[in-house]
Amino acid sequence: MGYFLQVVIDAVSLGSLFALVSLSIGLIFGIMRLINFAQGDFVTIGAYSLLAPAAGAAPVLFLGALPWPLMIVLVLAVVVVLALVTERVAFRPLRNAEPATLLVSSFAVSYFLQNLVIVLYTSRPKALSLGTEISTVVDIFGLRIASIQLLTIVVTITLLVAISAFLRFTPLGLQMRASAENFRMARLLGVRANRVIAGAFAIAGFLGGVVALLLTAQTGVIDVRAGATLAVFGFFATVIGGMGSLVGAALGGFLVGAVSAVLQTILPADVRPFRDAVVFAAVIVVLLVRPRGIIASKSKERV
Amino acid sequence: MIAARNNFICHLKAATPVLLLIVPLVLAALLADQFGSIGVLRSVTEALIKIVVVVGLYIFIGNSGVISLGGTAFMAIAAYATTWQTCCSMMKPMVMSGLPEFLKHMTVPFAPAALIAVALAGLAAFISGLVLMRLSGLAAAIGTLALLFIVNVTYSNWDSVTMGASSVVGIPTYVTVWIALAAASGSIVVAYLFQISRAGLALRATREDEIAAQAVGISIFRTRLLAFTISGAVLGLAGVLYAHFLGVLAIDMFFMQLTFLSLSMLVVGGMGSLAGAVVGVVSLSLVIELFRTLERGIWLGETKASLPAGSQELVLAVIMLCILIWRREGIMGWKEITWPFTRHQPVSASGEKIEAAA
Amino acid sequence: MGILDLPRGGPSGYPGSRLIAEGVTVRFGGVSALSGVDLELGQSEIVGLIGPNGAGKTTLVNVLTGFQRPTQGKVELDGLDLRSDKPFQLAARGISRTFQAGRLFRRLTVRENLEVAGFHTGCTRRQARETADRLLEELDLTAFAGSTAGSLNYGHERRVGIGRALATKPKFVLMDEPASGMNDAECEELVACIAGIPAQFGCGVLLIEHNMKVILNACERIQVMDGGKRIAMGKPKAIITDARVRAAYFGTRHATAAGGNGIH
Repeated sequence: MGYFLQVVIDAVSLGSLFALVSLSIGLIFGIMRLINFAQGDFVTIGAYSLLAPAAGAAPVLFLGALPWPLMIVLVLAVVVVLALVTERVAFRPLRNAEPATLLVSSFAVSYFLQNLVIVLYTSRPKALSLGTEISTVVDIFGLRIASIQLLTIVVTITLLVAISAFLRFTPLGLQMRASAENFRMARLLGVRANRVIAGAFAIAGFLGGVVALLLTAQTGVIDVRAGATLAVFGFFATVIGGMGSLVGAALGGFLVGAVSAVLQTILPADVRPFRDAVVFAAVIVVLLVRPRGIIASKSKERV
Repeated sequence: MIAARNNFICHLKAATPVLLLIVPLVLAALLADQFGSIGVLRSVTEALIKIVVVVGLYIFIGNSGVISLGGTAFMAIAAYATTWQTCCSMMKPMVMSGLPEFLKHMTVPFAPAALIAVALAGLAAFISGLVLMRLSGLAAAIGTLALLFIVNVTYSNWDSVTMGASSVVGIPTYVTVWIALAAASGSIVVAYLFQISRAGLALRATREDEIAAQAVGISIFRTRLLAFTISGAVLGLAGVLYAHFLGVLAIDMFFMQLTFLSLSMLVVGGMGSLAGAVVGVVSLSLVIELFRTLERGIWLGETKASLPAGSQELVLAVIMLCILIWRREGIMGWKEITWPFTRHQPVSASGEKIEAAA
Repeated sequence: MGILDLPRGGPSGYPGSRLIAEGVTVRFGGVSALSGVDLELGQSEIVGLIGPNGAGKTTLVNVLTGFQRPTQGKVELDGLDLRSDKPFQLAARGISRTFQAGRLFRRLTVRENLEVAGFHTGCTRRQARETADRLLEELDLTAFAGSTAGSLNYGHERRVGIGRALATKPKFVLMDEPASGMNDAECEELVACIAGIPAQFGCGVLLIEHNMKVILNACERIQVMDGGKRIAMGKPKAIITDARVRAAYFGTRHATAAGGNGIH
């Protein structure tokens, strides 16, 4: 029983990070049919903003040197600004392009951001500890849970609740939901495209910043490709959960996390390394069986 | 006699778009071989191999209009296949203990090994295509990307035959500039023959309008599957060339980086024409070469100025974005090159001149 | 003689193939787009299909060409059940169509548009090209053979659409509003072209059209639909005087062939 709960905790905390990433991707996809692979690089840059640009392996703190409330605020601000700039410079001119073209352009943006980090910080991974309090282990009902896992789960659930409240009760949130439903109709009804899309990117940036902090706290290492890996799983999770809906996207994230964690436990040791392949294969199956989520807006093309 | 001559001229005319692509490549190879330094020669060889890659991508993406992100997976499959057959007979039984017995103790000559590897890549494309070609548009792009990840995860963990994440070294390096040239020319010819074939035309019709194409009796699934298979085989050839050009093989050589680079070349050149594929490789290779030099540093008087590592990729991403934003049809913009150089006159993909509509 | 070598039932000859729909019902969610519609089309006749917007005409064509599965009902070609065939298989069986939106292969040349439609018969590229060239000549489009389809004007685009449908060597051509957006002179040309199709190409025509002039001049029989149902079927003269048709189609205001809902 205890072992089982341990697996559940692992699954949920891993799933939390995926859920935050896939929610960001799903939010932007719903509105402008863009699969934003650069979401992962928002995370990466958020993490690197803790450090000052330097070539050496020893980390030189930048935002990481500040008191933690200020640090959190500034990291989030950096990523939000980055997301907004990305939207303005790269994605806005492409707004009417085919979804596949948009996907390719987001690869370009992602490639750009990754290499920007390499130019500034080199490609060497850097070690960084965000305080000792979060690396302690708490004992709850005989379960030993790393406090960072607990923090991740709590933060994620809080954010999911906050975002659904935002989407439900604020004017901008309503406009976003309307746009995700039918962007053209929403625009006809007076929704201002630029505001809604900028709002979605701001939220995506905010979530990216949160993931950056949680990930850094969990791993203690900052790596150029960390965010991209997360984006891949987050993205495939969005597909599995259904790209049409935000709830689906978040659930997809948890599901992928859970499946990964469970497969890690139940698969025999020599098959275990291939568990990610199972997740990727599931993506193809979902695409075949339920393509609606992906192409909801175009599936009923009028003949 | 006259008929035969007319026929010959007719064929020559039909072959112009191909010849106009191949002849400059031959000249480049000749010049590099005669006058270039070893570095230049290697760069030219590598660019020729990249032409095989991008032309391989073009066969499917260009004609179908469906973006596949899984092409590099077939390169990996063929690269490993040729390595298993030709590499390091002494070490093989130990470092690749999972290979079947007959492979472990046998070394296959280069040419049959390459053929088998190419066939295997084609077969892999065919089998995965049976599933993936049922998808369209964005779903196809995502599905093929998932395929790339599946192959990557499988090969990087299948330690007993791929040596996992570590590199295989000591692969015989027989790829000279001439072999690369032959492969590049061959792939251009294959792509062109496919493009003007019935299947190629049918595939281009599906690219223009999926629904109308079905209404005139075209099976989208079958035409795409055929192109995906041919494309997979040509990409397989590129994988074989890479392995035997570098002499080193690691699975991450065939992952996101190469996928992005080759797709950029196709997009920048123009994914609507074969000429676009070749022009894309040539132009981006030149840019990359320039920035590689700058990253190594150049002497300005007394001081050595150099760009930091990563600048080359930054520039590449910016070029790609600019093309996507301002000239989505790429440099060539759906046109093939015809003789005399009438690039501005619209030409159908079969190289047939188009008269202006009244 | 037609230019395509097909077994055909000319106006005086034997009846040829028959395309039959019986009791076809299509529901989208709770809404019925078609409820129990019948249609019969012979290989040597031109049948008009009229009705106000939303009557289900295009849906019926989509069912006959495999783009829409019927919820209920039969679709048969000479007794062969067609319901599980995909669109490309139906095209190969000889059921061809044009589209309201044209849907030409815009970046292919006009000749290639027709050529590609002939491939499913298994002919070589050269044979397909010869057929295409002959068709272009018959349709008076030879001058545009080498132009890209996207560069054509509206009237020519329509004609290429018809040519492409004919290039599949069909037994039946279903035309979805071929005259929409055409002026009177173009319509007259179109009528002449359509009227000649059964004799010239050996195939039956189902003509969806809002323009009553085109319908009355081209069709031997007319089927009227409203609200997803067939409300009348008969000779043109009988149809324009049918009280139910006038009520449904022209509204209650007045009953001339030129007024009313959806007629342009």
